[in-house]
This record gives sequence, C-alpha cells and structure tokens, in this order.
Amino acid sequence: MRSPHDIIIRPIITEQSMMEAAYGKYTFEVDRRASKTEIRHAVEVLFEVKVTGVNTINLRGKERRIGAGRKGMTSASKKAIITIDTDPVAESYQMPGGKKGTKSIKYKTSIEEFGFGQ
Amino acid sequence: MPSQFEQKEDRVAYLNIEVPAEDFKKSLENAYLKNKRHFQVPGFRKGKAPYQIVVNHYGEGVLYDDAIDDAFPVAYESALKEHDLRPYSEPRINLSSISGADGLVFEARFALKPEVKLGEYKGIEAYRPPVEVSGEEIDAKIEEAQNKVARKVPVSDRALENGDTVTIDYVGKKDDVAFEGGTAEDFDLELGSNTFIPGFEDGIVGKNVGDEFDLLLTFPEEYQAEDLAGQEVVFEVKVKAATFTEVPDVNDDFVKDVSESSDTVEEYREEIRQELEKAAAEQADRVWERNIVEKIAENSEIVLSDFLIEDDVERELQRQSQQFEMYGLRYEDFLAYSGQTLASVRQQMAPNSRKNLVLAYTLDALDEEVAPEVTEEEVEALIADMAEKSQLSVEEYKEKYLEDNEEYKERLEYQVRSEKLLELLREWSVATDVDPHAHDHEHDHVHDENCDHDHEHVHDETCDHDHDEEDEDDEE
Repeated sequence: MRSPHDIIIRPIITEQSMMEAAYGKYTFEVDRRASKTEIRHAVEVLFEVKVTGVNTINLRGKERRIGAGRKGMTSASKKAIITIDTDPVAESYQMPGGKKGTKSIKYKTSIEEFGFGQ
Repeated sequence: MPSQFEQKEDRVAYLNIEVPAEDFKKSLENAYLKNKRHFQVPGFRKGKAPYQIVVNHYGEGVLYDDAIDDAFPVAYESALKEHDLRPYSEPRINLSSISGADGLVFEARFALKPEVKLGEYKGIEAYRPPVEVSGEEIDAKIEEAQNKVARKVPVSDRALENGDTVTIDYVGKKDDVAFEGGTAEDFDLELGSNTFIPGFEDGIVGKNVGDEFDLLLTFPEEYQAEDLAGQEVVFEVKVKAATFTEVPDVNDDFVKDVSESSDTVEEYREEIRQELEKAAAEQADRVWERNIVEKIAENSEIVLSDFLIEDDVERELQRQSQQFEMYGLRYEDFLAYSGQTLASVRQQMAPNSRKNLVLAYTLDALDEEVAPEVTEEEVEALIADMAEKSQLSVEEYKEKYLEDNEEYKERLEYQVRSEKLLELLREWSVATDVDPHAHDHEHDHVHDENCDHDHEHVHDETCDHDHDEEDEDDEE
C-alpha cells in the first residue's frame, strides 16, 4: 500500500477551493492510481480529521505542441474533493462490563495547513 | 505602547518605540486591504487572493512600507504624549526590527526645542541704514505719475518725428516683384524703435500723415533671409495715421490732477518726499531690527540640533524646485547645467539657514523673556486696519474671517505681539551708522582686486576701498 504522503500530492488552492474550505470541503491533487478509500485513509492519517465524503475527478492531460507540429501532452492528474466532519463527535464504544469508552483519537474540525506552505 | 526616551546629544531626542505584534498585525492587514487589488496569485482572480495566501506568495515584506505608514503616526503620537515631548523637526526613523509575529520596533530621532541662553539684550548698538531720499528718486516718481496720465494724441499739423507711432501700409518690391514678408497693411510702427531695417524708420521721419512715397533701401549684409541680405529693394509706403504720446507738463494743474492733498508743485514734491521717506524709514527699521537681533544672538548661547537646519534646507530646496517647475523646468536639470549637485547646494545653504534659524529662535526666546502684553484693543486695531485694506467694514471682516476661526485670531494676536516686541527692541537699542557688513566687504574687495584686475594698474591704485556696497557688487 502506498503511504499517505505519496497519495496526497498537493492542495489545490484557488478562489473556488478556498471558498469551499470554509464549509469543510478541501481539494487536493492525488495520485492517479489511488482509490477513494485510500484517499480517505490518507487524509484522516495526515490531517487528523474525520472524512465524511470523497469525490474524485480524473483530469486528462492537455495537448501541447512543441515546435513545428510535434505533439505532446501534459501529464494527467487526479483531483479529490474531501468533505470532512466539521463537528466531529468522539466515537464511543461499549467496554466490557457495560462501561462506555471513547476512542483516544481527537478529530480536528478543519485542515489548518490548507493553504499554507507546501 | 511602550517607548523609551533618551536625550543622547544636545537637543536631540531619541525615542525607542515598540508597536506590539497584535497592533502591527492590524496595520499589516490594513496595508493588505489597501493594496490587495495589485496582488496576483495563480488560482485567484487579480485582487481576490486572501491575506494569508498573499503573504505566503509574496512574503510579508511587500506590506511593510504601508504597514509602517499605518502604524507609525499613532505610535509616534502616543509616545510623544507619553513623554510629553514636542518635536521641532521631522522625525528621523531607524527600524530596529519588523515582523508580523513580533511587531515593530523603531527609533525616532528628532530635534527638541533649541536652548537659548539669552545674553544682554538691552542697550544694543546696531547699524541702521540712513534714511535719505534723493532728488532723482522724487523725479522718478513724478515721471511715473506723468506717464500714468499721458494720452495718445493724433499727429495732425506737423511732420512726423521719432517717437511717433505711425499706422502704415507698405509693399516691399525687389526688381518690381513683391517679396515675401515685405508687405503689410495697417501696421503700427513706433519711429525710432529700430524694429525695421536701417533707413526705413528714418525715411518716414519728416513726412506727413497721408503721404505716399517710395523708399529705396538696401538690406543689411547680415540678414536672416539669405535671398534678401545685401539686396536693393523698394518699399512703397503709405502713412495712414500717426499718434504721439502727450506727456503733461509738471505744473500746478497737473499736481491738482494727480494728487488729492497737494495744490502746487512744491507741495507735491514734499508729499512724495514724505511718502518715500516713510517707506525708506520702514525698510531701515527692518534692517535695524535684524541687526539688533543678530547682535543679541551673538551675545547669547544657542544650542540647536542639526536636524533643524537639514529640515530648513530641505524646505528651501523644495521651494526652489517648485519655482523651477512653474517655468516648466526640472530643478535637477538646472543643477546639472550649472555644475552643482543636490549635495553641494545643501552644503552651501546650510550656514545661511543656520543663521536664520538662530535669529528666529533668539527672537522666540526674547518673546518668552520679554513677554509683551497684547491687549484686546490692539488686536481690534489691527483687525480694523486689515478690514480697511480689504475694503470691508469691521463687522463684515470679522464675520468673514474670524467667525469660528480661532487659529486666525491667534495669528493676529501673534502678529501684534511680535510687532510690539520689535518695537521694544528698537526702544532699547541704539542706532549707529557704521555698517559692519560694509567693512567686511572692503576687506574682500582688496583681495579681489589684486587677483582679478591686475591688468588695470591705474584703476587698481586709484581705486580706494571706500565704495559703497552697490558699486562693489557691480564690479564683482
């Protein structure tokens, strides 16, 4: 299995993606071979958030000409728009003996790094 | 806002001012809002990138200039208030550290009020130029009045003379063909003004109005139109009309015409003499006052910061460059042309500026020391005077200029106050007619003569060094 760092290539920072980020939808460029499940897992591990949805779209490479008539293509890529839970409730489970326990993972409410660095 | 105050040199304040991070952050954001329409980041339409993205993309540095402009006045003002300081010059600013995370720290240096230890200011002996009105000056004034009432009168029953203005039609012909620029109708020409080629105006003198005649002339060898230079031509001239300026004779009738108070020529001369004397006396007083203050300044100890001089020179430079701009010239070009640089001009201007400042602050200190009292009546008198000058009644004038204008009133009060101070100074001082500056000049002059005029030995030897100032200036 590919590591989360290999799957998430970079955030896509545009006016549109910045606006959606306010509602918990973050856009990334991802490895073209990654599945939605892998992407979900990678984002949860990297950014410690609870992912509620993954939408992906394949972007075809564009035709470019090099010099007189020689054709080339820019590389294709894959975009993933991840919806996270902006109001995560700590997951609880039943402990033996009727007690309730909570998972130790604390989900964050946003991806703070989005738009910074990279 | 925390700040420390130190006075390291004489009369210079060092203020170390700190703008906390949170305040500076706000200034950065204000700077971003001001400039955001210029920022272009990929993925965003121009001017739509949010603050954080812009900072990441361009770096915080692009916002510093405007952020400092935003943060500085507030921080500076509050620091001044904190230490109860009054700057006498523009602040010089040194940035110590700047960042969005830690805030802004800078050092502002500025001049404090100059310290003046007044010396003796009573019983000063100072040069007052003599008040003399010469006969020529009076004559000149009378001539001025004559010209003012002079009239144009048509010439009718005499031959034309130099000084007349004639209206002529003329056609200039070379080999019977009219040449370019040699023909005009209804041209006004003043005879004797040498407007036309030699011989033309002389040819008209002695003729009468209504005459038609030919003038056979030769163009001068040096003439701007090459095909005419040195050529013989014929001008067909027709004198249509002529006028001359009638200057009234100076007699009692003339005096009654121009003067309200005088009836005879004698009285009129006396009236003008008094007018001129009054003006000359006032001018002499101004010079005297300046000399008095100069002397007092010499007696006093004055410590003032160089910042004041720098600022003053800068203002003067600006004034000059504005004047050049009015004529459509660039000051830099003028400097380059006259072989000067901004730095050299500054250096030249500094001593003079220093002197003026010393005088101004001495006067200030005197004002504080003497503290002439200004009464309401004196201000009223000045207002009445100003009202008269602008041809308004006192009430109208007050309504127009003084209503809700405390500043203007204060200025008037200050004017009365400084006039009083100068009056007191004049009272306390003795006028002498020994001009200390003339003496200085003589000394320079000896030197000059030896250097520049050594080919003129006769002149050199007979040239005694007791010219008055104007003569010397002419020679140099």
